[in-house]
Amino acid sequence: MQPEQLPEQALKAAETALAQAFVSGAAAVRLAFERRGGVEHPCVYVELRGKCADERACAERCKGDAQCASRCVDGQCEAMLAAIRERVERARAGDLMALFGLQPVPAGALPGMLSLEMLVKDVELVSVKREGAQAAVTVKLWFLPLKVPLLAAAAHRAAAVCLASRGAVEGCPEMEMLLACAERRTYGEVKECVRFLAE
Amino acid sequence: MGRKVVQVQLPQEVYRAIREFSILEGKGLDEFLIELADSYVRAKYGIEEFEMITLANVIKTMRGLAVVLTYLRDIYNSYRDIFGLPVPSPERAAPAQPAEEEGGGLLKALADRVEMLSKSVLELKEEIAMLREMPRGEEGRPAAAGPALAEIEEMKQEIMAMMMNAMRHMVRRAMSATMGAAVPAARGAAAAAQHAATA
Repeated sequence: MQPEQLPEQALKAAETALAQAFVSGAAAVRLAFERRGGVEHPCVYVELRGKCADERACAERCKGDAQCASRCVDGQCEAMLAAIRERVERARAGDLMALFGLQPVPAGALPGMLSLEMLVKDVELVSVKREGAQAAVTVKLWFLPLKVPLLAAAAHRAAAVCLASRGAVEGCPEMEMLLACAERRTYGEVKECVRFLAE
Repeated sequence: MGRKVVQVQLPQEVYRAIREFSILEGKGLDEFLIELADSYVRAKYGIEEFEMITLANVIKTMRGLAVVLTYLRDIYNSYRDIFGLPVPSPERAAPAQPAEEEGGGLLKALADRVEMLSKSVLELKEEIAMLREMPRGEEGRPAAAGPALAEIEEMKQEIMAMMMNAMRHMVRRAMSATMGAAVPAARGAAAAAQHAATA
């Protein structure tokens, strides 16, 4: 099912689930500024932790055979992590929305001409760790060092903070403060403001 | 060496923009992309006078920022799918947020800003038109137009850079989809040719 086809109620439920994910540490978003090719870029680290296999289903299927259950968990986790690696590869090949399992955005489909493709310069798989049926993946989005991409990067972090603290993005003070940053004139001023908020 | 024929499926307006340029003329990729982005913007938005209407593009970009915040929800929704994060039961869900006005508080704030910027564009256009009729300053441009024009120029640069970035992703995506395995082979052949030439 396409996320955009989800009814409003389901989206709200997803938002609430994600709020819990952020609170519990299952998902985290971090804003940083890092140099690449002599230029400092705004970066967003997306960290996800969670189960990569259904241990109970594996145990039931293997009927108490520990080795079989372990192979089953390994297989499920490797498949999931391979899928994530493939998504990152596709994103690096230009299909940025693939990273999030979304359909590519056709040119002009979004009102107001902004898309992830305009904001993000590159994507990097920072780390993939696994311990049993638990996995942790960190992906880094390199945003362009420009005002609007910087604000969009900061919006990712602010949205995560809002979801964790209020369970919703709309009407959240973090977002209001970000909008205040958007009023600054130069890139340097916006960066200073965004940095201040992120600290 | 024969010309390589690549079939690329692109939106009509992008195709029209690309057709106007030819890499075979020996243009550098950056120059090509700058011209491509410029042409793309003109073709897509029917912009005749790019210099003067750049602020309108900025407004579209601001609207786009609202879109970013909207699609963030889809992105976060996909986080849930990646690691199968739990969907909370209704009784555990976060307390309902107060009903927002149509479009939500944040979107309304952005809409207000867009409206404000729209007014600024009209005022700026009038100002520029007026300044054009005034006697020119020492440096050959209207004396009082400096900051406004500098800001427009800065915004133009930012939008161009973002468009170029989007184009890069689009070219990457098209190349990876259509050429696939041919790219490493072509790189290898090019490297071998260079090696032979320098040997």
